[in-house]
Amino acid sequence: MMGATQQRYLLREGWMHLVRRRISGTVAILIMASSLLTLAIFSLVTINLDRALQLLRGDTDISIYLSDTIHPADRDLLHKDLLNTRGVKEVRYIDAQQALEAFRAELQEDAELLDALIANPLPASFEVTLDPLMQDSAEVDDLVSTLGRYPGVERVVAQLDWLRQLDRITRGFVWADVVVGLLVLLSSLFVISNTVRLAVEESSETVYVMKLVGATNAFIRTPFVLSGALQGAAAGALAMVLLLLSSRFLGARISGLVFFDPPQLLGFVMLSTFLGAVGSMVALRRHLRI
Amino acid sequence: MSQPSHDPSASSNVDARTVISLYHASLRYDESLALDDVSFRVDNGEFVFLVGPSGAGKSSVLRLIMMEEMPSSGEVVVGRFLSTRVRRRDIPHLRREVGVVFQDFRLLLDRSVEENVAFAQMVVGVRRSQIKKNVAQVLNWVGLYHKRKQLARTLSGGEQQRVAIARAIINRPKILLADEPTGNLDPEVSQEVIDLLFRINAAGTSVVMSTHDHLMVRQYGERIVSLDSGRLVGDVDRFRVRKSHSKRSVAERVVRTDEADAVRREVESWEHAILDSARARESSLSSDSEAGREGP
Ligand SMILES: Nc1ncnc2c1ncn2[C@@H]1O[C@H](COP(=O)(O)OP(=O)(O)O)[C@@H](O)[C@H]1O
Ligand SMILES: [Mg+2]
Repeated sequence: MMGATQQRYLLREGWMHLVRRRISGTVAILIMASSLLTLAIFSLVTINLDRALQLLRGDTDISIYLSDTIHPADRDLLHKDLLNTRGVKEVRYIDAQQALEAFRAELQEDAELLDALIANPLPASFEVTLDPLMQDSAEVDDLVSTLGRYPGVERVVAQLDWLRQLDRITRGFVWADVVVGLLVLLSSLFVISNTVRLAVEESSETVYVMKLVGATNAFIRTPFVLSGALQGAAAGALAMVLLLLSSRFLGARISGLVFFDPPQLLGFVMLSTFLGAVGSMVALRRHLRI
Repeated sequence: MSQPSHDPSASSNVDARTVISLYHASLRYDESLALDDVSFRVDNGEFVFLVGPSGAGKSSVLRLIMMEEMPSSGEVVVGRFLSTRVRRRDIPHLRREVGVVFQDFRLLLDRSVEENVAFAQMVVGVRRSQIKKNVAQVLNWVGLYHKRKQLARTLSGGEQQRVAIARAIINRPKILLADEPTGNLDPEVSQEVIDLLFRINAAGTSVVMSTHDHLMVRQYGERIVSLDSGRLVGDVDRFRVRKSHSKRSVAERVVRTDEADAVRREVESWEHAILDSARARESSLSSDSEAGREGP
């Protein structure tokens, strides 16, 4: 619909808005890049903590080992009570055979050792996952001792307390991520809309002439939106370059760090570009009377 | 006029030859009433002088016609655009049919002459090769082709106004509005600008030009719409006989300016006519001006 001449004009004009306002534009890009960098670092810390936690702890929070001679009615009662216990998210029953198979899988090539066994030495168990928001040490200790008193229960093993602590901290980080993300969003919108506002004020005469000769509103807005998007893209790219450099530095010292993969990096830059475009639309709504 | 009993409020019943109509248009800015119940029509190919002292509402009328402002009451019809029905996104299309020039030129001073004129075509999506041709043609026409590479700010006032005119007409509008286009110019330079506007008119474009230069109106004016304090106080046509011929050659006009004496006598009667119509219009404005403009 739009001709090549117009597109060239819009791109050049968007670029010129930046060039004419290079000081405030650069400041905006730096501010936005540093806030994006903060957000990226927060997310990376969360991701790495979460991963470390996954490695340190097993899948379950509490394992209830059952005696071989447990009465099926007792087992069903225990199962039912577990499902009705506050804070229990998931209960899995692992019978002796499944436990053996899991053990075999864990042993891998040494699995033939198990062939020497005449009977299965492993007990059946309930594997309980707790709701991460509900687990407080005292409560978990209570639950463990209550479960130990059930008939047919041989032993109850709970996840270590400090691991649960770490888990909570990690979840706290997720909230911090959300808060930081919102702050980054707002500050980015603010700095970009500010430079676009300056560009709009500077271009009032051009805008008037464009209206006079019959430019559509979309056409008038486009260069401003482009300049905001360009700033966003530049800020995003800058933040990602800084992040890559620092991850090189850290990665050489701490092994096993998780980092964003290329599609995620690209997503970050796209998000930042989008923020720039939205920031300029905010400015246009407020300052461009057309 | 082809429709002697034209009902001013019936906007759907638009004469095919009418390009601009104001129907009881009023314009209120906050407290002040800039225009108060103004009605008149402009036919295809007409040259209309809009006269009146400073603050009379001339610019307001032009702003209504280009729909930069919408009437607070009444209606403005420009071509196929009705102020009461037009949508915001239609306005750009209206602007492509209405060229505008101002007293202060409103050029983009840090761009070249060529760019200023090309701008109007680029904005509406003409192809580059075509723009180049059209710009060359129109700059030739206003006599500024040799200065096409210069920055607009380096031109004299008269030259800047000619660039502004070139920009206003390059999209071939049906209507050209000129708001005191000679207000900042010396008399000889004003003359060039007026000649240009007449040539544009002779090529078929309707022109509405506001001015408070009475000498100029006396010399050239044929259709004269007078405003005072926001009210229409006169709408006369001094050359009723030729009214039916909307396209006239420039030569014809020059001859007419040589007949200055004859014109002057007519002007006096016209000035009386203004006063008369001002008194008479209170009740029936439209039939009054209709009668004044009717051919024999
Ligand atoms: N934007 C505006 N806000 C308030 N009043 C205005 C505005 N523009 C014009 N006016 C008032 O409207 C009246 C007509 O103004 P204008 O149309 O500019 O007259 P002219 O062009 O004949 O000098 C004047 O009294 C002027 O003060
Ligand atoms: Mg004025």
